[in-house]
Amino acid sequence: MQRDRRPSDQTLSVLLALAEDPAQWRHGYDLCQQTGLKAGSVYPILIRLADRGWLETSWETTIPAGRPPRHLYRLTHTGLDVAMELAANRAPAARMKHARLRPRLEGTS
Amino acid sequence: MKGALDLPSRLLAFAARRMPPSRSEWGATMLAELAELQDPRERWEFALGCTWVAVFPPGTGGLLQTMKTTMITATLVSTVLVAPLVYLELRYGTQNYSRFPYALFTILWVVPAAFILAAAPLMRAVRAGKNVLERPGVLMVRVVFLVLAALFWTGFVNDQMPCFLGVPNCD
Repeated sequence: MQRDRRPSDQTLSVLLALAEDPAQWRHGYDLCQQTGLKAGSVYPILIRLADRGWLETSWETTIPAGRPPRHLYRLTHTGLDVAMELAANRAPAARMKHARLRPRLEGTS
Repeated sequence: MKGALDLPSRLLAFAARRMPPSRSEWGATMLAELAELQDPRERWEFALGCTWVAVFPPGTGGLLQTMKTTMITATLVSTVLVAPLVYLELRYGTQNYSRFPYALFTILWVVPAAFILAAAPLMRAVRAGKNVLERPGVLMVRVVFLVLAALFWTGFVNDQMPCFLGVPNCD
């Protein structure tokens, strides 16, 4: 049974980082750097977000020679709605910090 | 792929191969991301964090799986900690005594196991990004127990070390 709990601060950080530019596909390490969280924290969060259907994942299609394709992430519409709702419920100061949040344009890939 | 065969890559690849099928894609994900990193320190930090995720992937087996993993970890860690002391006792200590001190080694084994069982929920909470300060009373009790257990075990080992090493007339 999936429990409906308020996301942790770390989960919120990842959600907000992804929501800053919802159309943009992101890499795991970039999210670590942006949120200041370690990989050991970010990946469990990404796994849980994907399990909940809040995260869309994809593999790189254009791969430079000599390295494996990287995994890409962006929020689903549900995930984006959740992120925006959580951002709106934050303290005013925090809301100002994440004022750049903008909805993904319909039809963007 | 630069650094493909270095230790961080090997460590993470080893752990990723053991991920449950439902999570194996995430193992490949983390390996691919590691391949992007050039700085050795960053590679180690990233690989260690991801290895932890690969060994203990979230939400793969529910509470029973979590309990099983914790019990196995506690058993293994306690055994690894106590095994060298048992060796010393058998090699040197029993020269002075006729009987193997089973009770003493049981205590030495149980304390680290209890430590891990008590620490595991805290570790899981931190790893899951939960706020461990939400219940300060529980956290305080747990931390006090962990500190006392660690102090007791190290003090006990320190006190008994001469006996393990076969020093005559130790107690």
